[in-house]
Amino acid sequence: MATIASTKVIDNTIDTPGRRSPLVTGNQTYGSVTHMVSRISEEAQPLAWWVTFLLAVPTLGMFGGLIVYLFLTGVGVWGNMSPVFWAWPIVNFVFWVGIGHAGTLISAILFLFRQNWRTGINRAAEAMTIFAVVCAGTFPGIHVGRAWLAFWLTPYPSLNLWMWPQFRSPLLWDVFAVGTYASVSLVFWYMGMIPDLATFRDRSTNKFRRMVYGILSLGWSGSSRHWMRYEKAYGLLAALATPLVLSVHTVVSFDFAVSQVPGWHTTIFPPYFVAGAIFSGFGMVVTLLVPVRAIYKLKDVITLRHLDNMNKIILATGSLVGLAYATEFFMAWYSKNPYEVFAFWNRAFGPYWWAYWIMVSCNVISPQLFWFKFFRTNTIAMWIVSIFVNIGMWFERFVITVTSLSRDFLPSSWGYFSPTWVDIGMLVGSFGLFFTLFSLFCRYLPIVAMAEVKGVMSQHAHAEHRQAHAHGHAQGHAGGHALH
Amino acid sequence: MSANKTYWRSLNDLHETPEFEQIATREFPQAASEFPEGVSRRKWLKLMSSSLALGGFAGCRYGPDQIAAFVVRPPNDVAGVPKHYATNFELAGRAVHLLISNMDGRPIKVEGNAQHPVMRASEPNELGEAGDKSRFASAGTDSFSQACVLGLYDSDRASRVAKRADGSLTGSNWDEFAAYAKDQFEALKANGGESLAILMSPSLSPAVNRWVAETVKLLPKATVAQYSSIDTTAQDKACAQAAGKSAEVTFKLDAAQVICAFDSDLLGNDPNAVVFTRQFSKGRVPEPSKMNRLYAVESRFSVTGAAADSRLSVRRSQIGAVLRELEAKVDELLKGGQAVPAAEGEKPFEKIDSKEKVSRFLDAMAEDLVKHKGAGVVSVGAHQALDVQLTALRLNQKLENFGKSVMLLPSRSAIEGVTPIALTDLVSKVDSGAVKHVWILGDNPVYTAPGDVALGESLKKLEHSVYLAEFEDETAQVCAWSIPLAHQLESWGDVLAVDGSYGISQPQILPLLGGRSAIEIMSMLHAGEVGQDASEMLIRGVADSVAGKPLTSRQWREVLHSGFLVGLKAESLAGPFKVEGSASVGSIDLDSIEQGSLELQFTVSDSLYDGRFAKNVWLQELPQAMTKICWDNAALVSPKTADALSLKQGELARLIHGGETLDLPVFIMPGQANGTISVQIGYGRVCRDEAVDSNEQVVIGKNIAPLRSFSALHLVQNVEAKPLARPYKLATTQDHFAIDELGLETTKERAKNLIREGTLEQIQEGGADFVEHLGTHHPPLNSLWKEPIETLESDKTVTYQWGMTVDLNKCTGCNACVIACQAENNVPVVGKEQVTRGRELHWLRIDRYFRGDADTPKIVNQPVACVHCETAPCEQVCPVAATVHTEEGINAMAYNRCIGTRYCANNCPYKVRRFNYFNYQTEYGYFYGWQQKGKIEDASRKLQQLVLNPEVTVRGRGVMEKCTYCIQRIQNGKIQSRTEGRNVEDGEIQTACQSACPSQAIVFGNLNDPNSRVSKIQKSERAYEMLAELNIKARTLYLARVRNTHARLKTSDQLEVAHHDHGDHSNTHVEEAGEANGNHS
Repeated sequence: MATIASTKVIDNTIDTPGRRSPLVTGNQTYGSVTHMVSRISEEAQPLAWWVTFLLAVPTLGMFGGLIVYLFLTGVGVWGNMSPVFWAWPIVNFVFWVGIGHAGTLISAILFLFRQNWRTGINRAAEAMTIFAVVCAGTFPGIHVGRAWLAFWLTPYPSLNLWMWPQFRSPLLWDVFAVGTYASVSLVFWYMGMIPDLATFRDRSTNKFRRMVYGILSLGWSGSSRHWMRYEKAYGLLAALATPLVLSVHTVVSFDFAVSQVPGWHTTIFPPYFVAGAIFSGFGMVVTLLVPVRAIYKLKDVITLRHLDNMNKIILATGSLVGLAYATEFFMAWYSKNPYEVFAFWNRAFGPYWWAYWIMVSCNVISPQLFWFKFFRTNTIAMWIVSIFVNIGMWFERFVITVTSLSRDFLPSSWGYFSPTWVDIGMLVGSFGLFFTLFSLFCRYLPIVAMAEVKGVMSQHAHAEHRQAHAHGHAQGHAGGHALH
Repeated sequence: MSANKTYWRSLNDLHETPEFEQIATREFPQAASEFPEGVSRRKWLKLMSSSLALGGFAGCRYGPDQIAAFVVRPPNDVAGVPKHYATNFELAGRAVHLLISNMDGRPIKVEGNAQHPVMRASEPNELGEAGDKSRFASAGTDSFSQACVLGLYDSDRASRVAKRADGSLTGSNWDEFAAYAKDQFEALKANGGESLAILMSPSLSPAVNRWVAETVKLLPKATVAQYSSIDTTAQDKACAQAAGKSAEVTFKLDAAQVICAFDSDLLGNDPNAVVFTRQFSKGRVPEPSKMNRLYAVESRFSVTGAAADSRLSVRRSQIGAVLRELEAKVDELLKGGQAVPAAEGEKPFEKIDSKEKVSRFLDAMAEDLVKHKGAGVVSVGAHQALDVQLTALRLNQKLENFGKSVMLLPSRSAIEGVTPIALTDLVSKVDSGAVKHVWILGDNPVYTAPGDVALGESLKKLEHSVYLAEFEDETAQVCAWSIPLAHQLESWGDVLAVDGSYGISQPQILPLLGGRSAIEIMSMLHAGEVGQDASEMLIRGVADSVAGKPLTSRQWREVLHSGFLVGLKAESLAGPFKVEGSASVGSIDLDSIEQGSLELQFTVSDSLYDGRFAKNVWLQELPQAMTKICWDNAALVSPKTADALSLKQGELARLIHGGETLDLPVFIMPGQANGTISVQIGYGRVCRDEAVDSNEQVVIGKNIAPLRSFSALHLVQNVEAKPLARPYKLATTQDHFAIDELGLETTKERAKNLIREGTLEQIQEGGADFVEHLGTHHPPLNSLWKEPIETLESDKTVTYQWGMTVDLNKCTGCNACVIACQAENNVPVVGKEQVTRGRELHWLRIDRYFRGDADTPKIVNQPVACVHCETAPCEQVCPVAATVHTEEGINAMAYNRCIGTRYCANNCPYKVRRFNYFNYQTEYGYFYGWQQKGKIEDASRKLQQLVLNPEVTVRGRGVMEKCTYCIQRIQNGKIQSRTEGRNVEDGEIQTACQSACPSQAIVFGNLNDPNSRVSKIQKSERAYEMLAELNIKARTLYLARVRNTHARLKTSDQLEVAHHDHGDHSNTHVEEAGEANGNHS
């Protein structure tokens, strides 16, 4: 252990010209980082974990129960109606897909742009992505009226049907887009985890653990050859995943944009959806990591600077989303298309005005607090804002989906949607699924990408002020093995 | 009252009355209500065998047969090919003339009998059709006839001879009843029938009336009482006074240029509405000399009011005063007075005060009536008082309308040698002990009797009462005997048509539940047991005597084939008639709204009539024509009245009159006369639900009988209405009126485009651009690419390209098509709770919009089903290609392929796609609504399944469905024509809605044939495509509505002439545009 420990806490959110702020604080050494991360899965879990887990699992059980109930009964257990044929399940789907954007963005795009601060948060963010996509994927599958035939959406050679799906439908594009995204993200996440899994394996004290992590780490030995191939594959996957970050939500937005429902049929949707997705994804990362870093005492690797950076992204994307809202109104007015004009006017001042204004206050107004450094660096404040962002983004999807459908072309067919208890139960239940998976992740897998964090640490463990030019992974790795 | 309050659906629900709970828990969620004991497999086989074994009634059908497979196919019988049998019967007070489609022995669908003389006489004939198309003519029906097949398969119908023992009904049998009947008849004979009373509704059946007359001959001291909840006694009296004998008034609307309906729903609830609608639609050709003009003066918005060219809201009690005012004006004109000309710069009709409105309205009406002497109709509702009736007859006489457009015919319900007494007299006779025997010939009088007539209490005391029961209903519960009556589709009978022609009713199936025909049971009352198959002979006997000579077997077969006796028609009575009457003058006041002096009026239910269809779930779920409410009755008030009394939409109001109170949901209805409340009768029937729990009662709507009194069956005055501020959810299929301002404005704006409407003058000026001018313009639409599917332009190689037109000028919104579609296409009923969720499944709906201001509103109707867009937005978004285009231009649904993403429904701009959120046809009630006490047995559905059309797939849950242009009918037509080696002829294929439409507003056919009616109509200057701006090329076009409004009664929107600065015809409009602008200011 280092001995020259400066006792004062270093504020790495301050930018000093000519000097890079450290991304790992607290005089950490490679060994201490390894220990800090690995002990989480080796020691007994803190109370907060048990509370989360024991709340999440029954909620997941309820989710499962509701799905069974839904299958046995029919999709009428939801509040869906005519004309609001899509409601909460689709809102939930888009909401979760959106959240699933931050992880891959952090791990792929920020990697390609050499943003080293990504290393502290990318593992957790990627895990969040995977789990969000799992939640998202659940909904379209159970949303269809005959869920047992949902596999007809996939192009499979059917000998007695001689029929492909209908490729003009955006829903089919969705299947491909989300499917590709989920698989690439999963591979990316898992591959990035291999060195850390090897560390876990090597630190294992019992046979079972060693065996499981041994299998998972695929025989990683930390040799230069392994590292070289790893780096190459990582770079390639990052390059592959980067367009997917943009394409998934673009395609999801096509579900709406390709239709002719006023309020859906707009060309702004792809960029607007992507911005919103990144916004909500970072919101969720902040929501998760603020407590995680406190509970697991990871403040030295997930530093305030990380959070500060994410909050800046939230501010930027939140403002982008606000700009999109304004643009939509402008386009509606400028187009002079009466249906379009009405659709947007109706959003803001129709029967769902409350949803619209919840959305605007949460998504556009609340992130503006992040202009102030206090809010960007105060964990409680940012946590509250990030929750608002999550709520706001759920409402954004609600506003788009439900208010547009509830009043389209023929006034005779207008209707007012209200959810049933099953709708509410399933939204809550999907959080149960998410938090169950996330708690298990915290319990069993490396929350922080140790190997990568070490790559951005100075080789001299205690020389925080000299963390100047660390980049990439190759430098400074002592292999997957931790220094003792 | 259910004590089971362990669940609640919402806070509203918790606050609701116990009745509401019951509705919410169980709203007859299936196609018909449950079968009491559940149909066991054996019973099912029995039912099936009876339906296989039936027959032998008519020469044109195969003979009676044993339950066995056909080894040799009976001649003319191909399994799976429906047969059509003519029949006529009385249904809800009206004579219906029908053709029943019989599928392998099961009656499953009803069409009008176009060959019937009444229908032939009113056949609309237009567009100069070449050749004789009469064999493809369609007659049209009403919603009651369309729904009657479901009633047949209602397992709740009375199915046993029941006898009162220890205060409740227990099962008995026919033999016991026969012995009882014989005994009693002997006893009655001994005293000349002194202690006997027969209670019946006025009947149009000669057989029934003859039987009553015969009974009175045999038992001269017997009493006959007549009662109908729909009161026509004043009109009957007036006609009798005028003609000097029992008579009824009827009209020939096709001979009329001016039709004035005073609180008279000629095209809606009138018993002759189908015929009147046909006649009326003949005069809706938008050409100056041909087009008729309909005035409606009424207190609530009726179908007639919506169809009217001009309408005035007047309280029901003031109709007489208005009519007399009209008489004064007509008198003056007849004396040589001059009509008031339209003054320069006169204000539009809706901008003037109510006094002026009345006088201007009556001026116009009088002018028209006098101008068209002999071609006018003045009609008043049958419930209006005697002096009002006489005034109307007098006016018709003065205007020389009798014998031309107005007819007095001998009454069809008169019984020879019998003067019926009133219901109240019967009750007092029973109470005084003068009457000890009562025979009730059906129609549930205990329920329909008004609150001040304690018929039930009186009957309870009687030892001898026999009720011919369609159901074991309220009346059956208080009678000593309840004898199961067969359904009209199961029994022999007869009826006199409105023109007096004699039609017979023949059974389409053996009685499913063991009932017997009215004629049979009546014969039993005289003679004890009679042969079960005697009724054919009984009816034939009546037919013989009507014909005046015994019919030969061949003639009888002809009667069965065509359904009527040829050449028998009632002669119109000759005038002049004695139509003098007192003319007390009342005041006309359109504005006063005073608590305590409100008027409460009772109207026939669009759906349930007088309550007799309460168990028919098709009708329960049928959106009422003007309000779009289903599964309920409500208190209708005008917006002003609601304001003044602080009544709110969606809340309950307490109606107070003479110590009686009743809580009803408020529905704000523009066009309702101020200071009046309108309520529909027929609701609040108590239906015991034995399948679930014999003690549990299901009540739908409110029984308003307590507020009715015998002396005022249709109107009570001095009523109070207090807001209760308790929410109540009404199930409406269209947004009710109280929506937000933004929505309301937009609705108004859009309705103009969706339903194009102009005046007769505008169509004259507009020419080919007429319809363009009625809506907003959009630039010409061109596709950027070649459409990937066959369109009318691109593909001429396919023989048929199907298309449709709906003439909004003819459509009255009568709802017949809605039920016809439901019956044809196996559309399930979803129940009230599902309707409030917006999940009704009707493939065809009738959109209703208000136009104008809330004080002088107009209503426009528009039937909307799938319009089969050529570039259908639904098709391209379906990920599994479950909805695709056929080469004949039909947007088809492959139910088997559908997985229910519902994307198509989102993308459908017309919102005509319907989704099966549950298994509405089979297992509805399993898990869903698990709070229900009883699970619904699958077997209990077996009976009602018989109503399903085997040619149409029954959809399961999770599947999208919608109008298919009745593709099964198209296929049948194509197969038929191909076997005959020809093309399908125009008119050969009719969709269910088309053939049910009495006004023939719907035309379907081949657009590839330039001579087809539909092609010609689509080229009309009135034809337009709804939402054409989306460039989706709908195959169903609408024809703009044209109102023939009197110049002085025009409202601002009718005076407006759209000004368009484009093309070479802009100049012609400059002048009008200037005028219109002047009018705006």
